[in-house]
Amino acid sequence: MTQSGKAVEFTRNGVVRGLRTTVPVSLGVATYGAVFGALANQTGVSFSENALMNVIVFAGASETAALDIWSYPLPVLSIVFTVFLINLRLILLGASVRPWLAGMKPWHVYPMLHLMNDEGWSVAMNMRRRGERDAGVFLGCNLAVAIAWVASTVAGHIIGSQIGDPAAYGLDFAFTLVFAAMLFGSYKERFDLFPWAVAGFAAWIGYLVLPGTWYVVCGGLAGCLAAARFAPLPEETS
Amino acid sequence: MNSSALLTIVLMAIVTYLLRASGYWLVGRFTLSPRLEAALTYLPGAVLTALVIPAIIDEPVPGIPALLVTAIVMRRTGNLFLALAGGVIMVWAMRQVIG
Repeated sequence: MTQSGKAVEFTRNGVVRGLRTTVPVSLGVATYGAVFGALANQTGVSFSENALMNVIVFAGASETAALDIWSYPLPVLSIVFTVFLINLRLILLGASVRPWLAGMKPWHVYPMLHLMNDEGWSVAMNMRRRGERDAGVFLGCNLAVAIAWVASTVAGHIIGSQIGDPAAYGLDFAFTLVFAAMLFGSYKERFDLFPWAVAGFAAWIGYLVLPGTWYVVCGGLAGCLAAARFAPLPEETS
Repeated sequence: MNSSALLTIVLMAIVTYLLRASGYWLVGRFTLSPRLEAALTYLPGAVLTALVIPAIIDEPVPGIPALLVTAIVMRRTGNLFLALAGGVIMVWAMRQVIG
């Protein structure tokens, strides 16, 4: 443990600053949250199951992937493994905030880490890059997204009960298109296409030959291994 | 609440929290190699790609045109809701035409 004495600043004012700065991003999250809630309803996830999932899992992309393969009897192992794969990236987020929060008491930091999410994290890290030091900001940014997510998914579940047959509106394609939109939204550079192509090909084969929903794991691992092998690294070490 | 659903949700939550906490915990005890970091960075995209595949194989029409619309709207606007709406409308419209 290298918590070398220096206590980190954490103020109520910082929390409010974080909350306020994250409002626009939270509105974007809320539109997706509403879609998620409606899809959850259509999938047969009950009101209380939906609320529980969004509070205790709180990781939208992985929850959507879980919904996509959510049919009874539930493929528990394959769902949990898919969630694990999509959320592995959270290790990077957690690692990156250590220098900021290391001065705080562990029993303050660890509960707070549950709220850490992609959007809140990236707003907070941008603020820190511009000189912000108050750890309350980190809590505020993540909390804003958490509130938006839980409220909008619950609301979406209620709206979802008003929609009739999803296929009549093309909504049976909603999951696929949400994943595609998230994927295209994450595009940064040409190299990204390489792991996507490998993943797509492996998932295609997996879909044809593997039982259940293991094509997700097959494609995900193949794409990620291909990226790990061939990715342009900042400082080439090996 | 269905008991297998409850079990699944609780397991999803445990796995996700452990991942959130472990990065923070690991720093200083263990260094991520650049390759491992690259693997973690590209993993979500690979999983998302895999999730898109079955619908495209099962129903290339209207799947592929809808995917193109979603891609274009997403790149232009960066708005997930609009991108989804565009793709869904494309699916609906093509089904009207093809019947």
